[in-house]
Amino acid sequence: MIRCGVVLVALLGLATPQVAPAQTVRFGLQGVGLTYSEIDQGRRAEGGGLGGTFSVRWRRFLLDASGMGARLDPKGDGGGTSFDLLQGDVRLSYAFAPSFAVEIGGGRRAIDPEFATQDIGVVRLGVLSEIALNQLSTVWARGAYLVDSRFSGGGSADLAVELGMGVGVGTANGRFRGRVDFEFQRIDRKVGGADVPLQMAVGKLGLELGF
Amino acid sequence: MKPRPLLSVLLPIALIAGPLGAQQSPTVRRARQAYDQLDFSSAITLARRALAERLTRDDRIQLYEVLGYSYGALDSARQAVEAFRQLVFLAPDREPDVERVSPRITSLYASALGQVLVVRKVAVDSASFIAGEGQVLIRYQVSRPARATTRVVGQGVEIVVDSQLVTGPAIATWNGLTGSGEPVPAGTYQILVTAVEGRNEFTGPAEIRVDRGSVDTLAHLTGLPGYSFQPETEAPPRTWRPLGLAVLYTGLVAGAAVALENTSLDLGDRREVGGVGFLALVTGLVMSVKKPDPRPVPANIQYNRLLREQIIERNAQIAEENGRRRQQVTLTITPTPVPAPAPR
Repeated sequence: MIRCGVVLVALLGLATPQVAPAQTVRFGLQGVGLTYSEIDQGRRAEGGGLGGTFSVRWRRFLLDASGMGARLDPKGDGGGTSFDLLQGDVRLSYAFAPSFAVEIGGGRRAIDPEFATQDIGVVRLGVLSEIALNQLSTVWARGAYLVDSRFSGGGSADLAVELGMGVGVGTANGRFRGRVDFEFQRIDRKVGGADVPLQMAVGKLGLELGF
Repeated sequence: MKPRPLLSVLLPIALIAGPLGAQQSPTVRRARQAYDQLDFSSAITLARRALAERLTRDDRIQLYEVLGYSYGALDSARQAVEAFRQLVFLAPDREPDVERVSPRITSLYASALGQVLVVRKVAVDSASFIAGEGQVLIRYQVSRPARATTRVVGQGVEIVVDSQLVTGPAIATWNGLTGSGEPVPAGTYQILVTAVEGRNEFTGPAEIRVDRGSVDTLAHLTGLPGYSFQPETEAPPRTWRPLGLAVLYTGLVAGAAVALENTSLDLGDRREVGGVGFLALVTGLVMSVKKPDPRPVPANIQYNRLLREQIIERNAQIAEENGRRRQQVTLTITPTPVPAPAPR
């Protein structure tokens, strides 16, 4: 798995470095669609909601915060109940090269009703690659290892990774930008030696305003 | 026809009378006719008699010329020189016609000229110049070594232009300024060249017309010769790089996500990665197909900036120069004929 991460970083490094976008502060609203899966193939939930983003760029630093709230309904044949998911993530990255940054951050996911699934808290270490397609658009990808995952139901995770990518298309002055994001998270949770993995895929579509 | 005989008579008379038209005295005319008929003794007698009369300046000039030529023809050198001296005083610029008189007479005239102090052939060149920067040439001749002082007189000003020891041809220059350094007013001026040698003094005049005008100003520059502004943007060639990058990023992440997916769990139809990946690829395709946006050319921007700075600097110099020129005056000097002195 670590090998895959190294290969991913190496391939992203082939991209030509580009100048980072000029806008310093961005706010955005997003529509969210996600699929959540837990324990086995029968326990899957799908739903949608709203999210928001906020980012501040200063020199080589980028602080990125996002949050979303969604209502998920069971779709698999394993039953379960509908629940609300509320998640917030913070990432701070430092660009050591024009298109590359290292990233640290944390995240928190709360579930209502409690114990419908796991509340999770994570600390992430990862990399971010962002590159301009042209003056109007940007594509980015990120990968992170979740080094310290905590669960409301206890247990630990040997493997916990997340991947993400997105594309932004905006006006030439950078004032407005539309963006789509994809995030994938896999956490191989174990409780008392038993595997209780969970996995989530999120797609986001939204608009941002830059200053 | 009747007028023809009359015309044939009057025409020779008119031709003869032409050069003597200004003569008033019959005695002068007779003296001249005597000289023309080579009757030098009679010419001298008649001329001497005529000099006792009240004569115009032109008549006196004619008489002294007849006397000089006649004495010269009779080998009376002393009297000839004396007559020529009087002629020189009356008409310094008048000279014997070398094609009509003998070299001896010419020599006698030159001898007379060397004995008197006169300023001859005062002439001013036509000129147009900026007062204080250009100059006009004043040419004259002094018959004997003397100190010649050149003055410009008129319009209430008198300017000493030059003072020098000269003999023969000489040139003085004038820059068009008064003694206080101001351009002279427009109007008519006399150029007076006064030669002084001991107690002898002679002034030769010339007259000029001075017209004033403004100095042309320089137009401001919008460019420099040989240099032109370069386009600050250029349209880059169409490239598939955006699509390539979108495929690379989407492929890597989507592939990695599928590869990392836990097979014991179910993510349904993977609509999230499919949808976002599709939009990313479409974005890359559109950005590749669309006409590339112009991109700045830093070298040209820097070049244009330097060029603009040069133009601004040059225009500042032009503005300064124009400010100076607006305070300047162009003088146009035109020589005018000196009016004949009033009859004595």
